[in-house]
Amino acid sequence: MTAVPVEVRRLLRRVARTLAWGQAWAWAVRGVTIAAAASLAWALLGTVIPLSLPPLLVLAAGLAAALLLALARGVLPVRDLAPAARVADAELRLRERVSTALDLATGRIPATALADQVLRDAAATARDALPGARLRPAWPGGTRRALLVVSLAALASVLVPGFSLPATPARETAVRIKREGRRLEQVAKQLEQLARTERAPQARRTAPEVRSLARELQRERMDRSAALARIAALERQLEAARRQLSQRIGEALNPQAPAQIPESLFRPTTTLDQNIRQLRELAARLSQEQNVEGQRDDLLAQLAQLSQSGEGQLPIEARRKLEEARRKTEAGDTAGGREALTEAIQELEGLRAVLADENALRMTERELERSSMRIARGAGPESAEEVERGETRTAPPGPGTKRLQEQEGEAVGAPPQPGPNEGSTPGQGKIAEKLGPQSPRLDAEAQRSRVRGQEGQGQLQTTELLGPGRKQPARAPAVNVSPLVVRRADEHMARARVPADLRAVVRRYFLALAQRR
Amino acid sequence: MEPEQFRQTFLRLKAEIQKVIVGYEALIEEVLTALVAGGHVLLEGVPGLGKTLLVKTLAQALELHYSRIQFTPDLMPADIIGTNVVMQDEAGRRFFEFQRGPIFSQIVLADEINRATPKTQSALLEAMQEHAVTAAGVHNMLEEPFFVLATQNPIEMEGTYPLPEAQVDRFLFKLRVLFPALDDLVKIMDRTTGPELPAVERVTSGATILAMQTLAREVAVAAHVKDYVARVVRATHPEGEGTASMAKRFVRYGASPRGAQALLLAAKVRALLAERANVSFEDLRAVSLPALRHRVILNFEGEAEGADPDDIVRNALEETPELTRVRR
Repeated sequence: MTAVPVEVRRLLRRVARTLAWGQAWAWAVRGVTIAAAASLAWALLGTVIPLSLPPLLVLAAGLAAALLLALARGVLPVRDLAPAARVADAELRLRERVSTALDLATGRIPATALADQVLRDAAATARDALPGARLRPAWPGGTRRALLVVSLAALASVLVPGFSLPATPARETAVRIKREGRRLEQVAKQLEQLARTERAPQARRTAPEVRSLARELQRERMDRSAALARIAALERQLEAARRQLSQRIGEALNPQAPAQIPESLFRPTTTLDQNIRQLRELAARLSQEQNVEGQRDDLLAQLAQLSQSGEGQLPIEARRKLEEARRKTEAGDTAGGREALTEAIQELEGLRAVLADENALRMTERELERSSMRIARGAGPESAEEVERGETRTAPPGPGTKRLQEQEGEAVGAPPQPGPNEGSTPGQGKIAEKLGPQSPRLDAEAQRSRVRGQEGQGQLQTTELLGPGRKQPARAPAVNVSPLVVRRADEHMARARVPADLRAVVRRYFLALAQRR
Repeated sequence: MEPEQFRQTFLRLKAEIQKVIVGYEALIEEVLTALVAGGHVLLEGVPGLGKTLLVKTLAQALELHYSRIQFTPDLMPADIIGTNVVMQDEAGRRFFEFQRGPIFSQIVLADEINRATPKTQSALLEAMQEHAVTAAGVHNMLEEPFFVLATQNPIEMEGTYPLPEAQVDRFLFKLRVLFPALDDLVKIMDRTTGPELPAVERVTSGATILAMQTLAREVAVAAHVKDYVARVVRATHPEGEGTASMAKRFVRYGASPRGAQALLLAAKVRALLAERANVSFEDLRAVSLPALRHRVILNFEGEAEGADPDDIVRNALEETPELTRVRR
């Protein structure tokens, strides 16, 4: 083996790099075509089966993967220079000088007496070719097809989602999505009601968003992936808002450990409500001047108890106000005490509104999650929880069911027993005997009768007719000949010395035979 | 011998022959290519086109032993090879002595080879393939370089014996001698009907031709070029992988491995003439018709349709890609 001349090596490296990128491009085209075709198929499949991934996402992921793969192909180093040598020879019209030199240098072909001259010749040719050695950019095959498939896939991923074929799981899921839309509309109404009664500002702001989502779900073309995405987006939004509210509540109750919120606060009848009622009562008592003197001790004791026992249950500011009210009342400043008490009540009412908001968001999140689960499950059996709540509709009893159950002496609603072979309900038993008596038969014997003919009378005469025969197809039809016989015949004909002017005649004859077959 | 010397000798030889033979530049070049490649040539053409003159001129330019055998139906193998003749010495004793036939030359013109019987035609087989003759159990080597040029008339087929495939396959080239162009015809008349006939000088010797043959075999061939030769030859066969469409329809038997050898050897000579020490696809394409046309045996349909083996070879070249494994 000898060394490849430097000029040849430089030329080959340049060509090899171009080839690698060309191949990368071809890979990209092929990969893009496959990804687009897969996305197209995915979009069409979505009209039959509910799918969680949108076709546009499949298309984008496929395209990204194909392009990454192609990029990797283009960047990878080229080791075998033989293909580059062949292409360089062909494209730069080097008359196979470079590839022969490379083969000689690498020992792929045995060295000859002229090997040195081949190498010198290749080096000189490469030197001349190097300055303008630019390969024409090759347009990889299938580029147009790739563009077409990508366009179709993009169109399909925009237009097809939401369409579903009748009597398919996809259609059932679409129905389910609409149903969930209607249900969420009810949830939105509940939220509005709650916002009015509880004066919950966040609930008031959330209700239109839930209603908007509900209406979107009831639109004609809404597929599962889009519905789930919309619900998930709103869920995330509500989760963030709820976290903020929780943070505020925690800070109001205990600034040192804001995350710890007592569970009792979230119960519908909370300690907070009781406290507010109690404080209002105390405030009313303070307003009555004549009772103040007589019941001061009792009032002060209640205030002290409230401010002390409300640690972790009442906002710190409210407790401070309660303490202030107690001190002022004790000092005889009834007006000041009442004012502080009123401020404490306002603090508590503020917290109550925040808690109502938090509860409303929590409820909405739960409903959204439920809808999300139902849509994701599609047309499958509903959960035990739904069955318990009577949300699943039982199949209406068939005609005759009631009568059948009454006959059997069972309560309506009990599962059917393996039963009689009558009525219109599907029986579970087997027919052991024929139903009813046998129908009457004709009491008669079969008789065989025939009509007798009459023998002909007269003379029998035979005449021989001479004349042309009637044209009719041959009795032995032409059949396919065994391929072995055909081959032998061909070989014999090829060997036979058929005069040149008669060959055409013979050929026509055999072609006519072949047509008759 | 150096490649440049090879080229100069070839061109001088060609120029010398062109002193006598008007036109037919490609034909002369192909005949010389076959000579340098160490093969034999079958010339096909109607009478009077200068086939015999070409061979005679070549022999004169090379100063080699030349013999002409006119093939006729009654020609016997012994008439070509030679025979044992009873001789008598001075003492009156009789003995057999081998009398060499006309095959014992360096340039043999087998004129109208298809007029002799296949038995006689076969007498050339051993000589053409092994450059040796066996007569009465004695193996006689022929003097090198040994070059057979056979002629046949493609039109007058009455009373002829077509060459068997084995015989045809031994010719490196089959060349078609076409009717000269109008200008060339005028020149032929001028040159041959005047008072003086052009004289041919000796350009080179047999030893130089042998050196040229040796050098031609040293030309390098890239692996994928050899692969292409094999695929082209394979494409002329009616069955198998890579068969060309016309071969599938019109061919009974495709080119033999000798076809591949002929193609490559001739391409090597052409590469040297193009001042290259390696074979290119262009060289192969240039010599493919004369090297392969006589090795493609038509089937009955091909004969009946009048398919031309040249078209079949061209079709095989067209349908065989030069680069197979490289994708751009």
